[in-house]
Amino acid sequence: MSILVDKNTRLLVQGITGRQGSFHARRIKQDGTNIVAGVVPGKGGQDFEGIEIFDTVLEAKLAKEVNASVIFVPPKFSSSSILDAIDAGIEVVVCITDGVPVHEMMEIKERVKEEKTWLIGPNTPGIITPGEAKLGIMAIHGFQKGHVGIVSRSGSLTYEIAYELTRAGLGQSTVVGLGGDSIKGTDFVDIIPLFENDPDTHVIVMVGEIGGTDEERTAEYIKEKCSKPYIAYLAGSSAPPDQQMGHAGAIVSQGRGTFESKIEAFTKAGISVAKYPREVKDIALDLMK
Amino acid sequence: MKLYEYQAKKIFKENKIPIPFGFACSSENQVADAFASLGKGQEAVLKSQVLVGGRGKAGGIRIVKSLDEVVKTFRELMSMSIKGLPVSKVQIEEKIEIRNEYYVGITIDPTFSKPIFLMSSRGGVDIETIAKESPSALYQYIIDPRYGIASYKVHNAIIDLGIPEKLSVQFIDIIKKLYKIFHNFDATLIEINPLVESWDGKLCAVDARLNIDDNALFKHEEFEELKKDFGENIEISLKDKGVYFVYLGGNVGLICAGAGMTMATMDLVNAMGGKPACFCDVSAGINPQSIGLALRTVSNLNGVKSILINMFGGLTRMDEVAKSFIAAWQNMGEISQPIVIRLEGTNVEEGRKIMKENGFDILTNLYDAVKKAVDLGGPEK
Repeated sequence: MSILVDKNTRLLVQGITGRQGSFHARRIKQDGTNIVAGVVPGKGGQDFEGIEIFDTVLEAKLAKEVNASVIFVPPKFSSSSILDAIDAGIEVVVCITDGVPVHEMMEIKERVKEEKTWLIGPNTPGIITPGEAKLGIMAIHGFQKGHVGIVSRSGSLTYEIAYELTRAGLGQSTVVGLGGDSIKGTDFVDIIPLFENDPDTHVIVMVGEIGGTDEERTAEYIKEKCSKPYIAYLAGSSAPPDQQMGHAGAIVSQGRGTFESKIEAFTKAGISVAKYPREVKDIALDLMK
Repeated sequence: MKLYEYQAKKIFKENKIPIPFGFACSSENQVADAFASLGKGQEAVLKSQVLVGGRGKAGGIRIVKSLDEVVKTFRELMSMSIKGLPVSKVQIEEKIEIRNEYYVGITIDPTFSKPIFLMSSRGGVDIETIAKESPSALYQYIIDPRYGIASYKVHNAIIDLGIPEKLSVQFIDIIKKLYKIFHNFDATLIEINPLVESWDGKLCAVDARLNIDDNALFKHEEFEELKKDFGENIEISLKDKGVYFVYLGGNVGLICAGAGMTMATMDLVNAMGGKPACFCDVSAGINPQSIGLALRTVSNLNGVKSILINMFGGLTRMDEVAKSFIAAWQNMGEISQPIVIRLEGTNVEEGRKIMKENGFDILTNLYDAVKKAVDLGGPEK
């Protein structure tokens, strides 16, 4: 078991003929994920290395029983691609693109709340269920099948932490990259119930950042509704206020989303807090004894 | 992208939000002419243009009465740096006689993923202080992005905050226009603090803040022109070349890949007794140009005593990083600081070999690397 994606995932790649799309479609296929279609408006009927291309997501879904999509479309057109996938009723949509305008995301978020689609991202490395499916751009060799669920706002820290877990013999059930933007299709608080209900996930790691209030809300939820062990690492203790640290979401502005308020919320909820990235592995080893 | 006050005010003016009469000046002649045009016997306010809050406390805002004083103060302000940032221009304005100061702003609330409207009867103070010290003086309302701002909500705010009813027409008019700018310009923050009521009962935006979503700049050609005013702004010019940089001012220079990783490295440097000199993320493109640019920039920062390069390869291959680093290194003049390099992940052994052949040792353990860079950085002054 796992969450969101597994060996039954029938993947569509939106923007499959572009520079990023073609490069990663090849790697995703190599890594063993079942790509059944591509979508590029205007190129319907053509094919990409044996993968049939359609003009719209709905056509691809009807012809190929698509149940998930990964989007590699430039920022100018990515909201439109996201809406195409939502309108077609795709279950899991991962938008890799970095640079989607936040006002467009506010509108998309309203749609996401009304529909059953899981939108992951934008600006994410994607999701991976090791050994079964990869909807994203991560290198698979740092990951291994196992029982740790990871959900993260940072791609680079996910690699570092997953790599250390894997080396310590702790594989992962599913790893979800939420993305670095301030408005995302899916937040921690949405993913936690899935891990909590997945029998194959025994411990859950959350990698957060300063900014926003998602960590605080999630801590509240875990305190009330969850029973599995949780570990959190949070980046940004030394970041000055009012300065955006790379990710649009990582900014302490108007006094909200500080490091201290998040750590306090985690601690109150009984979540183990790792002071350094490597402590995540140490705590996980302890918890899984 | 944060706009300077004078740039934001230009947009306010175009949208008919009342602002003080004034000019942005970059030379003594300009400021002298501008002072003359304010009229005889007029006091003027000189405001340094920097992209950082708290300039008033730092002495960046002055009131002047005579031409001599104007020129002298202008010179002083132009040679100042506020929180490490140079003053780019000075805005000279008529002085508004203050009866009351208010706060109005619209930003994006990440909890609700919607715009949020903020208003306070205590302007002139920063919003964090208002929220902390007198939450009852702060009115907040989440805006439905599909319908925009509702006048009755603004009216509610006016009643709630005990603001005189006779100001309501002006308030509603200004806030509607603010929301229009917020929406049309893809802003992440628009703020007037203080919004001043003068003794003749008129509201006037004495200050203006406007931040634009970087991801939406492609929609707005009008900002290309404004960008030229940022000529000397190191953060913006680096970003255009794929290096995400924020100046922090410490002794350990950082070059990392990935925003989360860069922040975590900053935190570690701090925890081990050093001070990070910058946030510098080159993950947008690892090649000899970007690494060379990052190295040169970090090495030239004041106070940097050691440089730490920290990269973890998922998709990025460490042999590529090593090759890019060596190519950048060979094209560079002397770098006076010691460099600590930590590489780990994909193809790290090949990377190590390339570095070794060129006389560089690499570390794979992040904590050893940070410790070494902090030790080499010496005690923080």
